[in-house]
Amino acid sequence: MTGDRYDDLLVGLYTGAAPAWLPATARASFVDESVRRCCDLSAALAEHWPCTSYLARAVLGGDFPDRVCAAFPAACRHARELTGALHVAVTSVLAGADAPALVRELFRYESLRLPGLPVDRDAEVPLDRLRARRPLPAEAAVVRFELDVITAHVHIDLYRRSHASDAIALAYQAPARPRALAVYRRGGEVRAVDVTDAIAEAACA
Amino acid sequence: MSRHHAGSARSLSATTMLGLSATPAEAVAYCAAKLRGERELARISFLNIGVGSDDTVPPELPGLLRDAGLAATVHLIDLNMVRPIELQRAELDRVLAAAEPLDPMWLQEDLGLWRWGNFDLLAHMLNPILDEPTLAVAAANVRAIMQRSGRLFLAENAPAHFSVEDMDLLSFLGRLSDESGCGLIIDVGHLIGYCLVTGRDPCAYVAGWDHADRVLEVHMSGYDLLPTADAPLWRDDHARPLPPAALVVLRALLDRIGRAPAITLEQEGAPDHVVDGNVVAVAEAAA
Repeated sequence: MTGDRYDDLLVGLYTGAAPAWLPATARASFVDESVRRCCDLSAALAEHWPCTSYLARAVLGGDFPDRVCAAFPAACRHARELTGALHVAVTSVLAGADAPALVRELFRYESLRLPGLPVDRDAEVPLDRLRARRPLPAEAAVVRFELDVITAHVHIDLYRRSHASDAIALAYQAPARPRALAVYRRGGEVRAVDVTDAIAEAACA
Repeated sequence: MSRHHAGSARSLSATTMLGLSATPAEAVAYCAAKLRGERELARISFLNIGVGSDDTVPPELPGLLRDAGLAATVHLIDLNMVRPIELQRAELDRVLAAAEPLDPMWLQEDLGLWRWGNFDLLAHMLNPILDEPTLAVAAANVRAIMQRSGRLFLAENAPAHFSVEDMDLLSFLGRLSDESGCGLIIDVGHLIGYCLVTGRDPCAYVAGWDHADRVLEVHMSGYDLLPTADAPLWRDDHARPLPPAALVVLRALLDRIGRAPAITLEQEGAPDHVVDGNVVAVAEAAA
């Protein structure tokens, strides 16, 4: 970032604030372009994190995509491409809004399926002993969740696909069962397998 | 001014040269397909190869291009032509080094902001502010690139969904050519997008342009127009077949240029039958 007019334009296009120097003749089209870019980000948000987006709209408000859009310019400083920047932006919005655990955990879960994003693996898990009980590829990482995120994802995804009301989404209570998932790639697809019980067995062995 | 002024390009042809855009890896595949006599590639005489600062050109590509009878142009990727090139010296040196083995007819880049720090803006790029300060920066950048590379540079009109301007796009491009010695590329889809957001008729606009002779290459690609009560909304979409309106604007532009520029079809993501259909359509429109 160099602090020039191009920085002003880019920041303004996502925050909705036109630079003071922008000619009056350009302001209407600036607003149109701002909307176009925010729609593009909203579409990417819904595509990559469908259940997070659906639930966050219900829990945090319908302006959730706008908040992510406003956080996008700052996020670009910490990413090289669109998905990475959106990940940073959503993380900051959820932290700033003190989002409930279900939204945060769905976001972490859906992020696992996107290539190139950071994975907060649990390095303490004895993978060798775990693999003795479950056939897992060598590159598998174990990620812990505060609740039963797979079950929660199934429910929220059903509501989302059904275009269910916010009230239905808000009424859902995720099972408060901490889970550990082994995550790995198979044939170009990311797989997440519940290994909570296997880890417990390995620890007792 | 560089010895490679726009008027001295060595590969201008009396008949239209058709080319396809390609990554270095795709270029290898196109060469092999042309050598096998496949599809409509017999009509293709050059490849417009996109090279970024992190790219390496396959060592076999220069030889394959020769064997297939294909020339090369190089589309430099991710240079910010609207910011001083000296701030991007490392990227420029890398991309020029990567491009050199291809012995390109010329180098090119869209005018605009493509990288924001380390972030790759892609569809979120910014087209240039069309005014004197940007013109001065872009002209200095063009001169620096031509001096450092020893090759002609063509400046291209970028995608435009809105415009901040003290002067119009074609006047800006003409001034840039005058002040830097560069040649020009008109991307017909981008031009149509610009005309829609600034309320211009593209055919009338190019018909009145007094610097059309600087255009050495034309880019053609698919796009989508979404109808509204006002002007349609333009969306770049290289995977689509060329709309008939794009071919009408191409014809108007060629008439104004008055000779045969190179024409590149940019069709990333398009299936083979769309690529082949577009090649035939452009060849017929340019005949």
